[in-house]
Amino acid sequence: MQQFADYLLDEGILAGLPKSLGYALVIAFFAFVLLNFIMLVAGVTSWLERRVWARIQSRVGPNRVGPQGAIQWLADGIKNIMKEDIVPTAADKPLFKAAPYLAMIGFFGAWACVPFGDGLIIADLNVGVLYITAVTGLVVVGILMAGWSSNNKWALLGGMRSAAQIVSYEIPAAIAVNAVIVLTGTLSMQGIIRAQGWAPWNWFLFDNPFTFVAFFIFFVALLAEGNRTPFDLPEAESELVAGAFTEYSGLRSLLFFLVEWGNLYIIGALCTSLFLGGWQTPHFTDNGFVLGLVQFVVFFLKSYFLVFVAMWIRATLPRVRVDQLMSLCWKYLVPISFVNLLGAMLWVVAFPHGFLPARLGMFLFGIMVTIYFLMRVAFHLRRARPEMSWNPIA
Amino acid sequence: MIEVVFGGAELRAVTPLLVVVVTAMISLLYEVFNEDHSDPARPVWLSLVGIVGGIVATVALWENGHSAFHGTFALDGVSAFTNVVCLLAAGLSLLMAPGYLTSIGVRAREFYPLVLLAASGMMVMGGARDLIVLFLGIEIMSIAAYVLAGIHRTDVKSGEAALKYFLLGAFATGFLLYGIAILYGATGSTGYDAIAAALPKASKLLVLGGVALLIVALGFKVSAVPFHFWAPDVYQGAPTSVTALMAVGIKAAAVVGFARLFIVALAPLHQDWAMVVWWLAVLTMTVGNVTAVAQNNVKRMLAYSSIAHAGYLLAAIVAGTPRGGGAVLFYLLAYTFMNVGAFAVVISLGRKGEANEQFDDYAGLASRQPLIAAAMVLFMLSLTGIPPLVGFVGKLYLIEAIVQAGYIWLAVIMVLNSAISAYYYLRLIFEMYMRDPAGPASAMEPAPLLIACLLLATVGTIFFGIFPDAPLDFARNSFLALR
Amino acid sequence: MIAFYFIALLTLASALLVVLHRNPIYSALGLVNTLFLIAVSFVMLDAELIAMLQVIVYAGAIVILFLFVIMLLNVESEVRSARISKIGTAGLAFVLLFAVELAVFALVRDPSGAQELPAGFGSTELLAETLFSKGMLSFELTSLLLLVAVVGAVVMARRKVES
Repeated sequence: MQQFADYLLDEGILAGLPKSLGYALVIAFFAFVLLNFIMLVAGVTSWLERRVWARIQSRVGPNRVGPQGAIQWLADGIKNIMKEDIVPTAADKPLFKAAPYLAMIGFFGAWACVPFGDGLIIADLNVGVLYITAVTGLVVVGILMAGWSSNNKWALLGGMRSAAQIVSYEIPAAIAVNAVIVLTGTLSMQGIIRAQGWAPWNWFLFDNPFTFVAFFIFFVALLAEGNRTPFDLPEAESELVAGAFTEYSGLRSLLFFLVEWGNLYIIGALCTSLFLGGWQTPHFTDNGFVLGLVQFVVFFLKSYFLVFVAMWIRATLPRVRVDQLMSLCWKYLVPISFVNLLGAMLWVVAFPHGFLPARLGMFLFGIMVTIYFLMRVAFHLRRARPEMSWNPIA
Repeated sequence: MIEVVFGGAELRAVTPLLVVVVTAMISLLYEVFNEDHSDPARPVWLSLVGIVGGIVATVALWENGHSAFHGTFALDGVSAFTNVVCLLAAGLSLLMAPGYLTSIGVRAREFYPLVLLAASGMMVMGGARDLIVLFLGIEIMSIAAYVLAGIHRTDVKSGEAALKYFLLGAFATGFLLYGIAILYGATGSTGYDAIAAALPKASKLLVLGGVALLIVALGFKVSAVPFHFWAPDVYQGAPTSVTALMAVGIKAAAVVGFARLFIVALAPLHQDWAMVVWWLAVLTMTVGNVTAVAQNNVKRMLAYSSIAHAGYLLAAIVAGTPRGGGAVLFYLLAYTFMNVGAFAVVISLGRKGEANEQFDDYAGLASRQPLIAAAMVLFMLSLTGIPPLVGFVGKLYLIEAIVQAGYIWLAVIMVLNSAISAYYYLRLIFEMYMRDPAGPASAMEPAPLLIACLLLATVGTIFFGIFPDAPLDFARNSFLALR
Repeated sequence: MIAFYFIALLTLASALLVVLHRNPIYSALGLVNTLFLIAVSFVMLDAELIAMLQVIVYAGAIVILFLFVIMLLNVESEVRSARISKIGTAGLAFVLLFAVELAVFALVRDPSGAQELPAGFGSTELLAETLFSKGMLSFELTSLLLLVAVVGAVVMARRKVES
């Protein structure tokens, strides 16, 4: 992106303008593109999630608007925008109105460091990983603000729960990331991806036992940070109506949903870049455009697979209790991640250039676990003899 | 690649610290898994092992002119002496703790590791040759002390003491950090040697501003007037064994930190800070002594007396000479024995539910508890400065150092103050020996550990009064070696 | 330069909001904003790591806990009382003190002493190098300090004393 910006500024349409104005325009342009991309991703995710749940729960799901209901999200969005934006009388109006935008800023900022491809990143900061942790932390402020300013007990409780959850789970997440950082010695997202390879055994997931554990800690902690089931207590409908967002309607409520579903993709993208090799592909062609496109697709598919896993988990697992949530974080994830980090450091000292047998071994182990899992699923399917069909409408 | 320097010098520097800290951690972990709480004295033993281990390691490993971690920390004579004094103070207050804590109903067994952690902070302060290390030492010690002061959670006074200490302490920390920042801005370094080297070229205005803030912060920690307002309430409200630790250990560490900073790093500015500290010392000893006269509570009287003693110590720092530094170190040792002894006597009179801390409660003690009364007489006389007890020798050398540096008036004021202090120390003796008991008091056997504590303090008070040479020479030489 | 003044002005404004606003929630949010803007200033000083840590630690965790407590206690907007104005006077005195000090700094500053920044200034590597060589003892002692604070907090906050 840097190259593209330089091209625009030096030779492209912006060549004549003053430097600072040109930069501002380029930034605005990127932001516009990114925002549209996010809306698309979040929208499609929302539709897909409902379909996936429906499939898992033997229902149909939205299938009316467009082919298989594929533009249901667009209809929902337009409906929400056109609805009246109600601000409760007793609410603290300035904060109530500002809260969704604040959450949006924190969430939107994180996208600047998501590496969609080699060079396809808005800003490859040298403290990229920390940057993402930092700006997503700002979402908490928005949620807390929303909860408090609504002047509603459920909203306040939901906001509190959410903030407590996010602040707590940031710790295991950050420590788990450190297992990767000690391996690469850089905090830049691109640097971390470049240290991996396209082949699965060159991914950090399989690099050594400690990164393997770190991946799962990281994924679980991110699910909790994104308020996803089984950690969606802040908006547990049976207890808190809709948590911090109870009083919101119209566009503002839409923004919160945008943050939620967009965040899901961020979770996938982070795990992919840190542990699953990011956009790495074999260098099969010298055509930069084709290569870039393939990289983008590879990255997108990998992260979307994780999004799918998160949906799957949401449709399968029940919600945990608050005390279970906290004890999982403080009594299990935090100590495990500390020990894990120590192990990762020792590993780096022992094998500064990696240890191929361990990689291959971990990879084989991963394959074996997957095969075992599939066998279990197949076994149960055979036992239950359900009527299988891939198309629920048929 | 980063070159991590961790060699013999570093290991030597941190070993005593490690011994104490690791013992504290072991004892914390032990309490997590220990289900049997029948014997309140048991956790003491582990902590005492840590204390003794720390002393042994210090004695075995110190060397003059030692410096480690790029000159930020040292285990030289001064810090070795501080380590021993602070560990002694911590050990003695640990000895008096178990029976006392049970009698006032404190069951928090984190008390013992916290005392060790506070002691480790003191050790850091003693060896700090860098402002940041000094700051960290102060904070480690202080945070442990805040909690210890409030460890008697069902007691309102203890809670008040903890809160007061914490809030004012946090305020003092602000001053400390700000002073460090300004001094760093002026000299470009936080290391003592580098500061001393950079001072002649640095802007005087900035340096003096930083030094003023440092004086405020450290003055708070040594409870110097006018930063002393927290001290009486905190000393009185905190559990007595904690008060002993605060009055002796924390004061010792803070005074050594003060002395090292001002005598080593700020030596080129001696002319400038000496006058401020001169006034600080005079005010501290005078206000402390005069206010102590009016007290009716023994613990509170001891608190004011400890303020006054801080004034004596500051007076020797004014001298700014190695001789003065040596006298300070020796006086800290002396003060440890006599003051901890006094607090041990206060504890031994306490009963379940009644503290017996008023002067009236001491009436006729000589007939009820002749041995304890005799010990108290010893400590009071020593605090006054009567030969041949250790307090006399200590004070003598303080005055000698002050006179030698040319501060005659300061010495005169100090002697006058000692005369004032005689009034309230002797008043306690008068209560114990010349008055009849107010009512029948039950005779109670003090806990064996408390007796051991009293015995140690008594022996120290007498022994070092008669044979002061060895520690005194050591203290002087170690300060000489700093130059 | 324009960016600096803009950020500085915003920082000042939100810092004033912290002090002057009657509603503690607004004050806390103003604090978040101030700290965030200070992080922006750090970025402009080429200290990205510090900036990120500033946001993560202060805006992301510490002030959140402040907000938490304020919201849970449901603190009402304060009423101006004589006491408050007394504190205000003290605050004003401090402001004056710091203003004088700033003036001193500005006067004392020697522009000729300004040096070219070393290569990699503000980078994570350089910071780590300093931290683990010159500041190793301080770094380790900080962990001890945190241990003491954690133990202390647990002791003070434990619901009932074990029996």
